[in-house]
Amino acid sequence: MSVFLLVNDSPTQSHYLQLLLQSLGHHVCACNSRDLALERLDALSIDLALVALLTSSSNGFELGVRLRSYGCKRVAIVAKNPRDTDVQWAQALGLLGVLDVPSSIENTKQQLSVLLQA
Amino acid sequence: MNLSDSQDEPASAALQRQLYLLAEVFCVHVEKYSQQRNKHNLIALETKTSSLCQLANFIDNKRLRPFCKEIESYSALLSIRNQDEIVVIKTLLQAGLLLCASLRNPVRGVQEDCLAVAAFDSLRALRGAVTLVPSIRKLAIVVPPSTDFWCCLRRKAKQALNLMEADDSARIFSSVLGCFAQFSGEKIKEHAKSDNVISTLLYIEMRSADSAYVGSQFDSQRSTISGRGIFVGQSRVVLLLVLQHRILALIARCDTISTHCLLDCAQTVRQAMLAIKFLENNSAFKDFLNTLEISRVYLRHLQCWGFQSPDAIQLLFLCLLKIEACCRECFEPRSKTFHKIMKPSQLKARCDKSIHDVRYGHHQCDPIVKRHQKTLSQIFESELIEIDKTLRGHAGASKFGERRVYVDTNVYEALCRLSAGALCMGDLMLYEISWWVQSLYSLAIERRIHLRIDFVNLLPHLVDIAEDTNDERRRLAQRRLVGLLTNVEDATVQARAAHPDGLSIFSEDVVVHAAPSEQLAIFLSENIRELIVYPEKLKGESHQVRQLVIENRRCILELNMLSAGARALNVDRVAALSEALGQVHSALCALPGTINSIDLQALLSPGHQLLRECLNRAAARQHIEDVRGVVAELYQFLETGLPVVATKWRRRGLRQRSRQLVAQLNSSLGTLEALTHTQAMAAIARAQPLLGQLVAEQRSLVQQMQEELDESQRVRFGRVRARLQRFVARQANAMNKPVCLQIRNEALQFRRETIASVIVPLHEVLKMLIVHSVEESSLRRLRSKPKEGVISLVVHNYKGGISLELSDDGQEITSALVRPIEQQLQAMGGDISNAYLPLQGNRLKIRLAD
Repeated sequence: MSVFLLVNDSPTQSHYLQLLLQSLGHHVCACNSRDLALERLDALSIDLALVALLTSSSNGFELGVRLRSYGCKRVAIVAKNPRDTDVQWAQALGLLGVLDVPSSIENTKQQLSVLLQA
Repeated sequence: MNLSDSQDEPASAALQRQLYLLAEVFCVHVEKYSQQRNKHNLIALETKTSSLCQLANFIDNKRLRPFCKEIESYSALLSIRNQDEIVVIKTLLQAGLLLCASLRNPVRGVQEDCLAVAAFDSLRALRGAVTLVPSIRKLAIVVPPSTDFWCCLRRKAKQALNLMEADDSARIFSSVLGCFAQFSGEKIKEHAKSDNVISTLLYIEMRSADSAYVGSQFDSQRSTISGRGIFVGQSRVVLLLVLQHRILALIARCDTISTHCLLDCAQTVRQAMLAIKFLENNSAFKDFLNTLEISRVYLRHLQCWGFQSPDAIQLLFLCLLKIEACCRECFEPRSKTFHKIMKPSQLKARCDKSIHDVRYGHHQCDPIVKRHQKTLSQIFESELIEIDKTLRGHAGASKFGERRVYVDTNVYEALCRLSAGALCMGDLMLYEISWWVQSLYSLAIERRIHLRIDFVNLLPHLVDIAEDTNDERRRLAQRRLVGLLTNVEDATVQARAAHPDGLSIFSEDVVVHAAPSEQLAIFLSENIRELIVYPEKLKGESHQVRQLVIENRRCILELNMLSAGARALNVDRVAALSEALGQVHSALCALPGTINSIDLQALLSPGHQLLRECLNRAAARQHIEDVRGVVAELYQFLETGLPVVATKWRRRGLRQRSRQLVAQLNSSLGTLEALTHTQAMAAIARAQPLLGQLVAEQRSLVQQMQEELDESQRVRFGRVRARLQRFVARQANAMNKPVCLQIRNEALQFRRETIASVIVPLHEVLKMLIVHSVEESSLRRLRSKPKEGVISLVVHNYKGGISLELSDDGQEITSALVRPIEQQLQAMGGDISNAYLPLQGNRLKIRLAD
């Protein structure tokens, strides 16, 4: 079982992802803002941080870099149908990649295992 | 190209014969319709009437023109189906026969009396009897294009016409352009070859058929508009050829399936639909349009869902092949092509099945939605309230008389949330539509297109659909919205064509970017490494930072690469910031001995931090904030903060060391040559040729190095371009005059010292021109001059030195103003001459010999 930090200010998407990750047997810590995410980062030992590409106050790339500088080494972007540039830019910033969700459970499981092993 | 009967007798005679033949065909069709009375005959008759009138008008015969004007009204034959057809057809037939009779004798010409008395009067009577629809050719796009759009296209056409080169093989193009010249009154060269130019012109022509703006522009030249019929006919051929070429290129590229490839396919299909709709909308293109529409829907689905299976790729190929076959069908109608073998209905059935399978598959493998439907619905409803507020706020704020509105990152984010939420909820239709809207919005952000008010007003409908609980009503609303969005999407394509960088609807990528935008973005993502970590590196100790700035050439390289790339991708704010940072870094590297006094962290950190934030925002397709404050500080440093005396010790040292190295290499080569000679003497035959070859290669490399070292003192004039343009912009701002500087031949190389010497008097001259020559906006308007004054600078070689020619379109400059600069130049061994050409402006020439 891994611990996930989920940063997404869309309640529907956040709730869906929580349900999805919990159904896969992971523990999820969800938050909807950057400050809250940084607080949680101090309190918990996070295996993988999943950050939404677009949030109302910032964007996933910016927040991903911030989380990395605060010591979270495994950060991935969450987006539906990511473009090639999204993947490239995430990797250029030192992030693990882009998780394509919502998607089928098998696909999500496979993507998560790749990200956790990276 | 003048085809009036008085000036070009052979061409006119040939066209008169053609006109006569057409008139006979016209009569045959009238008779045929009077006997059979079916829809196909009516359409054929309508086409023939139109062709006849266009040809008659094109000849520009004054006697025929009023007759043709009357008969052209009957191109609206479709609208009179419910009238008393016998009366109509009889009169029309009579008029046509009279026309044939009048043309039968080419020597005698047109029988005026016959036309005036019988045909002309009968046609007028008929016109009064039936009610005609004002315009039979309805515009495919619901929203009329703006004046800016036409201005932009017209400007581009003018530029394109100026760029044409002579080519004997392009006769068809030259004749098409001849028609355009008649239409628009433009002067063009006799022959032209560029496809891009042609399609621009065709595009203008085709759109102008329905544009009130262009109509008003050419009202005074109504007689020259007559070339339109022939022009459109030829434009069809050219556009179909271009389209076929594009589709074949796409089929070749589809081996490597990517999102970029899909985007390209979708764009081409969308443009093709637009182009075909602009052409004569007759039954011959019905299947073609159907195929394009089916492909468009399927491509949209693929873009939205991605490739789910190999079948999807196969089906995409099938769609492209069918479009290509449709193009071929237009040129070879009798061939038994793929187009005839596979009907559009069959293709549609396959596409629909594939789309249905994907949706059904998603439903099947998503148990979470089924299990937690109620909870998710409640959360989504509450989220919809926020989304609704954002979208309605955006639409509401844009109602105060504005025709277009700027993009808003909050709206983009709301659309992303809506599409993601719809997918989480399992509402796949809503997901697809909202994804489509989101991608259009994203396109507008990336291309900096102003959004149409029609599009913005559609956004709240998405929420209405999401909130509606009645399935049937939802489905109807979704269909209606899809129809409206299709129109808006077409209008967006137009806006892209009207972008200053885009020449025409089919040539955007070819002309604007050497590499497609997506590939360029990926290239930048892969190669910008140093800039990403630079803000962190700048936080180190001051001596480390100093070392970092002096030795880190990679940073300058990446900044230069980024500024060029961002400019090509239309991300101007990133380009401006990276250019400024690049110049500051270059200046700091050139002065390694004197940067101890500069607080590098305070100078560079804000810029680099902001640059990375901007890059992240651009990557996330968000709006980039204003960067002018930071850029201004960087330029201010360049102008005032740099140490006055710039020691060149490092550069000199490097050059000296390089020279020593080359001398040593030369010496080593001499030794090697001697050894080779000794070997030859010792008759070591096998190794000798190889050694000789290696020595020769080495010799050429050393020579090349020597030449490069000698050349290193010479630099391109373009190095000072940014500095000069900045100077002009600052002076123009100070005087509140819109002025721009254009530099030509900036690739010419001169000695560093020569450029450094000429730059000061050049500043003086530019300042003088801005202050004393270029008029203020109001005065320029009164004098019918363009709003923006242009100072043109042409660089030439002159006796080993430099010669600069400056010209403007302003008022005369007195010699008293030039004298101080002349004295300054004479002290340096140069001179300046001034001439004023009435209605053209000042011409100044600065010369500085070496």
